[in-house]
Amino acid sequence: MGCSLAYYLARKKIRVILVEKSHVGAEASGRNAGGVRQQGRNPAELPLAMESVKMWPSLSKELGYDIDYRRVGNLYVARNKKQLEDFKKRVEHEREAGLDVRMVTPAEACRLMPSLVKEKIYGGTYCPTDGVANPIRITFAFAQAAKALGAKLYTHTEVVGIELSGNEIKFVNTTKGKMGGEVVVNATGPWASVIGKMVGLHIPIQPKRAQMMITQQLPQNACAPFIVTPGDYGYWTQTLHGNVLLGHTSRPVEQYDIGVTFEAISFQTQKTLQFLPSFKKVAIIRCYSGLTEWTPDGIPIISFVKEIKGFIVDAGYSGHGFCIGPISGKLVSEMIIDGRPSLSLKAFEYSRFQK
Amino acid sequence: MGSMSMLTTDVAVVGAGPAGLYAAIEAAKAGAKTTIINEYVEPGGQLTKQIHKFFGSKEHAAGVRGIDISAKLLGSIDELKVEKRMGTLVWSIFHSNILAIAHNGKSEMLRANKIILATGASENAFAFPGWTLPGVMGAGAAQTLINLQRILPGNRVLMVGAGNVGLIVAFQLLQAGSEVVAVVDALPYISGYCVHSAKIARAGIPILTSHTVKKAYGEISVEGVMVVKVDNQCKPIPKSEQDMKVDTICIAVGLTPLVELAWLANCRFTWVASLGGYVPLYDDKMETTVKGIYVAGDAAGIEEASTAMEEGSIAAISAVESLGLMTQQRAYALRAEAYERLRSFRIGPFGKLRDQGKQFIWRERQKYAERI
Repeated sequence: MGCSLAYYLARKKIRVILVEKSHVGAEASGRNAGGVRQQGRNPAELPLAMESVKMWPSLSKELGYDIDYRRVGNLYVARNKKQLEDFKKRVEHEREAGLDVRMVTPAEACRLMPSLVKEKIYGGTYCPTDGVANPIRITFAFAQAAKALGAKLYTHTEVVGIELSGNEIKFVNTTKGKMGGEVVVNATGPWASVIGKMVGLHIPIQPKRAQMMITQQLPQNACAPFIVTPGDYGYWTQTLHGNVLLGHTSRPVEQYDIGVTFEAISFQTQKTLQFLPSFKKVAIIRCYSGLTEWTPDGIPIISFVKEIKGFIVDAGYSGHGFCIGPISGKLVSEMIIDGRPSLSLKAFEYSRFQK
Repeated sequence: MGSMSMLTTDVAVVGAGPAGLYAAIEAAKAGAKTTIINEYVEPGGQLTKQIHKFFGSKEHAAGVRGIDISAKLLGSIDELKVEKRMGTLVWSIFHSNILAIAHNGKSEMLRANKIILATGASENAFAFPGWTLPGVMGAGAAQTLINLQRILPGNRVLMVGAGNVGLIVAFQLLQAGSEVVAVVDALPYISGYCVHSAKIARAGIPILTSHTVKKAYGEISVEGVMVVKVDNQCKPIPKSEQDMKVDTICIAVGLTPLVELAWLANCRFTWVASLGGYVPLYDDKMETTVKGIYVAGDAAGIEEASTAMEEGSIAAISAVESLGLMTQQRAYALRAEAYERLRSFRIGPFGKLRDQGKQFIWRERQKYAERI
């Protein structure tokens, strides 16, 4: 989010300082599965996701760096009747909102994803305009493009405090000295609550840990669309080089720990084998974890806060912020520049948690 | 995978090369329940293919061939009832004390009070046009072929690298019946021991210093190689190419510590060029920054078999001391003796650099301890 915002601000000739405690894309931005997905979202987020998907195809060219964006489609699979019923209701709403999404029969689902077992599934929903991109590349691309436009990047620089004068921010204290600006954006994901505390705000964002596993290279159709199935089963997607990523649903975690646990490996492999038995002989070559950032209602906070002048919270994407990264950066830049984002951000007000 | 039982041991040693075997013997001698795990089906590590006689002092088995040292150590392992798990891969370390091990495609968990990582090193690659042609291989791979599997990799060989590995393997290829066309090294001098380079020289094999490979060529495998002279910036000198007809190119351009498990266990690292790259920080007990995890041998920085053995002992002595199976006084005395023997190895132009590397690691370890 920070890199995307820095780029859209720099493009409008706004002077930007981007402070990062580690390196670009070190946390969730570089660790997620890269799903550029519109279907299956909270209705409030759908317009943002749909607008963002219009932006993704041209980003490689615009940013001058290949981000491996591919419209591989996204397939939600129902493993029981109840899930199928829920899907039907959702698809109705999504179609009303203008999304190109449809129900598919078990046979169609198997055609899209040959490793599915027809007898084990009840059908699904398919959104052909959904896709994937390489999360490390897009984050890097935004950062580099922002830098080329004059944004100042301070990596390996930690924010250690924020000095206030009344309800105004005097400066931000970092390990590389004092910095400041007319507007300060808190786009620190799972750490948003820590930064919030520095200005006396309680930002209700909790970190969770999601673990990813990577298989050996497989034929390109092994997991052609991005696959999701509800109920703690996780998700599967294939990289440009053919490795399949197995994603685990997020679990609460203490102390921002991104260690890999055997329990998660065991759980995720068992779920995968129940769902995709043909993966039995597939070797897992690596595992890693990343943190997701959760708000109580599972949608982000993207707003100014009335308590502190010029302070924006842009965090809490609750495990599904990747697709909306580009539009979010654009909208927040509009919010900063003329106070009028081109899409409504009303649903994402910080104040909704203060009622 | 399914639910799995938890195996337990006092000391788990990962790697059954010289460092690991010494560690396992020392730990078992002190009465610790010891398990030694090795990825390859046969224990012994590099020792099993070292047909040359060691030199140095009596304590370091001077005059004995590596393969015979290995046989002796394996005898002790069996006598001391060390549990052997060969052909077993350690694929991670969880919670600082649980080894995830896999054998024949089945995973198990082994909880160990102390873990000694003696995982050795891997050969560095060297990329040039044609380096993926069949016939280009690591010198260590060639050594395994001739000394263990009794297969001659080729008839005409170019050895790249005039360090100890390059010189020793070149000579052994010669003994095995290959013709070694030349040994080349980009450095302006021979970095291996004189005792090894002298053998090569006596056999009439040219050692071309300030030379490197420009490219290898061949239809389906190596048919020849272009060698080129380099200046003191390591830049090729135009028109100095030599065409050599060879079917095998052996690469001996250094080793890198195999330290993935230490990374996975969250050990702190530092970069020491003279020891082969990234090495975990450790103290004079060979204990890393993760309590209960020790490191020894090439995984603690590239040296040689004799020093690996000493480090294996030091790690095990410290582990059993920490388990209460050896008094502090005795452990201290044994470590002091081991360091005394190590000192005799870490002198001279080769040893000095490594000694400085080790000192650097200890200082960095100390600094880390002070920071936290």
